[in-house]
Amino acid sequence: MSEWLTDTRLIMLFWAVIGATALIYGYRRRNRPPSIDRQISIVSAAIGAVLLMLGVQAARYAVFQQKAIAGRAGVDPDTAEVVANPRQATGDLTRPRGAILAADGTRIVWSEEREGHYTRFYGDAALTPVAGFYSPLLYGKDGLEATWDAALTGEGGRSLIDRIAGQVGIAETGPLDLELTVQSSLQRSAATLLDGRIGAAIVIEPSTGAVLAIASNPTVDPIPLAAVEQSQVAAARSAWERLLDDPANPLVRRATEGLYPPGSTFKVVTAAAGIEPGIVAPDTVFDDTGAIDVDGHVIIEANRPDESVTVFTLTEGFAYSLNVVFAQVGLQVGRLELEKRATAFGIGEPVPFDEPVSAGQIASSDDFLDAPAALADTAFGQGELLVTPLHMAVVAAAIANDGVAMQPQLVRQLVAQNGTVIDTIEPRRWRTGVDQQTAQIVQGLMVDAVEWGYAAAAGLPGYRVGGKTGTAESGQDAPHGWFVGFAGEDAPRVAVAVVLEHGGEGGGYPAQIGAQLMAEALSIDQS
Amino acid sequence: MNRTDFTIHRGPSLVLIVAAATVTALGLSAVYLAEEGVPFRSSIEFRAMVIFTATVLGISASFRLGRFMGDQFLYPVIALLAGFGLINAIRLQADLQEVRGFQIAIGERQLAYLVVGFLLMWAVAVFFPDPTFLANWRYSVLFAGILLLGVTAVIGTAVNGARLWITIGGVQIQSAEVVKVALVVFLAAYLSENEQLIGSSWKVGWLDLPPIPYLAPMGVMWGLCLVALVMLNDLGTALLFFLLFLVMLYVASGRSSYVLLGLVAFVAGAVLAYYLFDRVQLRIQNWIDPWQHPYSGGYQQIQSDYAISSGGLFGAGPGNGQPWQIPEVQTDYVVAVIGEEWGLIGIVTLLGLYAVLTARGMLISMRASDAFLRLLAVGLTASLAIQALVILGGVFRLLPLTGVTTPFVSYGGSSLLVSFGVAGLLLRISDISERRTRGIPGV
Repeated sequence: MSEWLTDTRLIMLFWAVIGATALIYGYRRRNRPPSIDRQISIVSAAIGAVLLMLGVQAARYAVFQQKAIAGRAGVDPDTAEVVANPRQATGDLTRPRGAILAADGTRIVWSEEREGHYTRFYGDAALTPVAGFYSPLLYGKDGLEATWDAALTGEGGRSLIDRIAGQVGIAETGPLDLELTVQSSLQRSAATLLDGRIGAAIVIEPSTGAVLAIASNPTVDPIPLAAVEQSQVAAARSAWERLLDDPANPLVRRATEGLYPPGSTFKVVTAAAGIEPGIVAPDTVFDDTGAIDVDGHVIIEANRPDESVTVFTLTEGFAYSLNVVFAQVGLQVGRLELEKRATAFGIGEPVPFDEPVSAGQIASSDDFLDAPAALADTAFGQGELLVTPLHMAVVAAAIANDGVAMQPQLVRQLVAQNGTVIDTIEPRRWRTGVDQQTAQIVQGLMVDAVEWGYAAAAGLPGYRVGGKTGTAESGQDAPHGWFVGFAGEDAPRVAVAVVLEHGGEGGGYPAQIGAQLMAEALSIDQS
Repeated sequence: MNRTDFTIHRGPSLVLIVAAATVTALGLSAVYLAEEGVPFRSSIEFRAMVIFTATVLGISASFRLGRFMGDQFLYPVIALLAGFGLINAIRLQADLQEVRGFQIAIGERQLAYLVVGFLLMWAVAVFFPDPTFLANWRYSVLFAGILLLGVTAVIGTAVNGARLWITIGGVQIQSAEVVKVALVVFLAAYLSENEQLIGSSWKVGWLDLPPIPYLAPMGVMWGLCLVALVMLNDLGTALLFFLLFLVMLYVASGRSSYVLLGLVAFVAGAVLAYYLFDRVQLRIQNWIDPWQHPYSGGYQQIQSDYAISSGGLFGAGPGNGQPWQIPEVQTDYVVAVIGEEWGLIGIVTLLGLYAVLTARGMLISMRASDAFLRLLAVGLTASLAIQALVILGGVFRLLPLTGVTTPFVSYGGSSLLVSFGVAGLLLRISDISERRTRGIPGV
């Protein structure tokens, strides 16, 4: 059924049909003398027309749009209660459901039958947030439980041939397990490092887009929400209430749904935007006397390592994260090139992923960047820019992968209960963020920033590490601390993005978290 | 045309009655099988099966032995509708007690109401005097009706905000149901008396206005409906009364301009009510988009949508759905239960039964011997048909939901008894017409 045929329009249409029926019927009998019989037949026709339309509407409910109507769910804006079809909950309780496993085989969540219904069981609490919550009676499904529901129940996830084979009994038909790209030890470390702070950390393998760890804090504990009996409903409701009342808002998964100004980490994009068309090069020099006036908007420089120095190369401007330098880069690059580059890296749109991702924005309106002051601010990561940590992880991974952004991927394989691999999800190129040569130049900038610049805290002995810190202003509160980076023996093998809400300077704890996660990721035996 | 085979109570009708009883019995068995519990012989399903079958077959036999000559399709259709209602009530009884904490055993009660209802229908069909005498009592009937409405508006009991019930000696009666019949009787008498005035309309510009004797009761009716709306706080009753009035006026006068005028007046009243009363506003909003407030105002509609769509083409089977998820399911949303458990096939059957009911009622009217009886039959038939359309239209969102009952199917004593009484009157009229046509003396 097409989009414009909304319920309301359909109702109008039905009444139009009913009215037309009565009119036509009456018109055809207009020449008969008024008699009770004539009028009775017209009234009967009108009643019949309404009954017919009721039948059509019933058929729409029960057959034509059955799935859409039966499966519709929503949240009440007043009470925040989730309303969903309770019958599907019953189905969820009585059907077996596949497990979700980390790449190393650690079980994150699995189902067991207890007293006639299937209950979700959870392993290590540090890993459970990856799966999302599962609350068949009350709040529905979330995260991977929602996006991969069809595979987990076994209704989907198989090829047509396998399904037909299953129907005739020569292939397995049961639920499928999800095998993730996530490494359980790395995921645990990420959770531990974020403990007590609000923020997110993502580790990606640049060459494949495989997400090795994705952690947000605060997290949602799925266990109390997974009520399967009426006796557990009250506890689940109060747990949900606490989630809603929590000022830290744990229901927002920071890694994919948290929107932050990227701060200086965006200089990676600005540098790429300037270098690819040849507008700037690493040795291009810029004046930085401590402030710059752009159309009456004064940008103060707080980052110079030595206030007696007033001329810096782009490399130095990047390593010392000089806003005045990048404001000039932005003004030289211009609005079109900067927007083009940001879009090429996927900023301002939802990154395709196994969980819902917020789109973010380059600017809130079309003409914002027309103002030079706004363009200058945007060039060093302020302005109206908003990104999720996943966006910045993809930027770091694309630079590390010689410019190619792979689609971030959380699910690697679907496995039947007998161990057969039903489907392997191949790595997919998503975007070309920047050309290979530029990507390698930007890698060099990032390596310099770690070797002698402000990202030094991310350094790992024995590895080539590149990084960029960010300290994103957020109104009156303490700034958000960012770190994006990559590391490898020679060519980068892992990329990382870390954000800590109101976490202070990006060169401090965020860079340390990034470095530690990269070191651990590199030490995992890639067998 | 030889009408004998269609009107004398013989073979076909007996087959239909047996079919209705069989479908009911099978539905009850399915409900029994879907529940765990008591041995079959001591189950309510078994008791209902026996009592229902005995009642409908007993009445059928009585009609035949008494040489009843009335319409023979009406009764089986009503029996099957009532059977659906009985299955629903019994099926909901345990679930509503368990899940919603209902104190009333609605299955047991519905069974009792049905037996009384069937007997009432039978008694009216067989023993009621020639209804023509009612025409002489038209003003008394009208004033009794208005009085009853007034009393209800003042001392009535409010259920869910609507003041529709009057409690007499511990028994709650839905007075609007009774007033509905009084209205039909009055209008039939008034309109048939003034039949000759049909041609005497007067024109204001292009508008064809009814003569004053028509305009006067029209104004009174419009006022009554507004009173019903405001005092009784019930949109459904107002809509039902007014549509009923328009249908009867149209049938008597043959002027579609009256209908148009009436509809415009009603829409104007409804628009006024929309701005004056929050309750009406909420109803309309929940009709246009129940997902605006899915956990409060839209909840009932959404749960009903879920039930019907989950039933699909064939339904989950009687006793296998979850109709208790819908608030007020036993009165407002019985069709959703049928949708969930009997599927689209069940709904279409229900709609078909109402179509046949309407057709037979209108046929009875066409065959009736004088203008009063004709209009009376039209009004009685329309009262059942329009009520079904108003509530089914509400469930399927052609109209805002209004709390009128689904005739013969919904749980509820007053509504069932009045519907059965109306059916009895229709049967009586058809019997009289047939006897008059054939010159056979009445009972």
